[in-house]
Amino acid sequence: MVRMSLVYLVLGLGLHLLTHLPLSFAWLANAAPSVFHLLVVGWATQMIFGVAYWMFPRLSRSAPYGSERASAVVFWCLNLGLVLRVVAEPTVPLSSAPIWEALLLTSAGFQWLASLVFVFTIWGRVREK
Amino acid sequence: MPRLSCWLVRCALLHLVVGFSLGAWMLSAKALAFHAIVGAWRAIHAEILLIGWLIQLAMGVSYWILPRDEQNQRQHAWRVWGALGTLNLGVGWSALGLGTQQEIVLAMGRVMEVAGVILYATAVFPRLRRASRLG
Ligand code: HEM
Repeated sequence: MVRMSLVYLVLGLGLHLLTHLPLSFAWLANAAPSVFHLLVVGWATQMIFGVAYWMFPRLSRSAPYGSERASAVVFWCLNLGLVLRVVAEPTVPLSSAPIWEALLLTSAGFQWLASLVFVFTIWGRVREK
Repeated sequence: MPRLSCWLVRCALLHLVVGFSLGAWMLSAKALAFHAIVGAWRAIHAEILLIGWLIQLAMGVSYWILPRDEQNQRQHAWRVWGALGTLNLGVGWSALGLGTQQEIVLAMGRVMEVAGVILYATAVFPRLRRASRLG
């Protein structure tokens, strides 16, 4: 998660730069909200998720970090959801193909699921030690 | 993790769920072309996630990992409890102001948020000063 968050930091700032260059791509003009979310979700929030899994009080000796499967679900849902958003959100206004709307809906569902599973799995580790 | 950090982090996690739920709903609205009804929800979503989630989580975790000073922490605990209350009330109040477009309600919410952050900063500042004196 921490590695991916650094990738989004570079990608987000790179795309941010592109949106400010005088390029006349309609897609780039529509990409501003996605680029902003690459930074706040992909970088900041994902960095927090990764660091929290590592340093919050351990659950038990046998499974100190909780369920690894659940954290994998969080990782894949958050990242797939975000990548789908970046691809689909700027494209929806430019194309009448329903696939882009379906991908955007999927993106919303994945990111929402990631937040629910993260909170569910980390909640028990927020405790006095 | 100290009890105060637990409460700050728990409140931040609740804001994360509410903020992401609103975000997912707005993204679905974009997909299904009923984006026009999103209106003030955009700003409410931003308030919840930027202040209720990111800032509050940073406060909770830093209160836990900054250099300890038991005496200072006992002495200033009331400020951090105050920060917890005013920050969360402030986010709720600001959201209400944004939703109802009542500038005065929004301004009161923002004042509470700033008061919360000031209470927090003045409580942890002596811990940093002492730590830097001790080298
Ligand atoms: C830490 C996480 C997040 C932060 C700090 C954040 C912040 C913001 C901000 C500042 C805006 C612009 C508000 C305005 O224009 O008044 C925004 C808009 C939006 N956000 Fe987020 N957001 C976060 C996560 C999410 C997530 C997870 C989703 C979707 C699942 C989402 C969906 C949206 C949508 C659809 C908009 C409206 C975009 C538009 O202008 O068309 N956000 N967000």
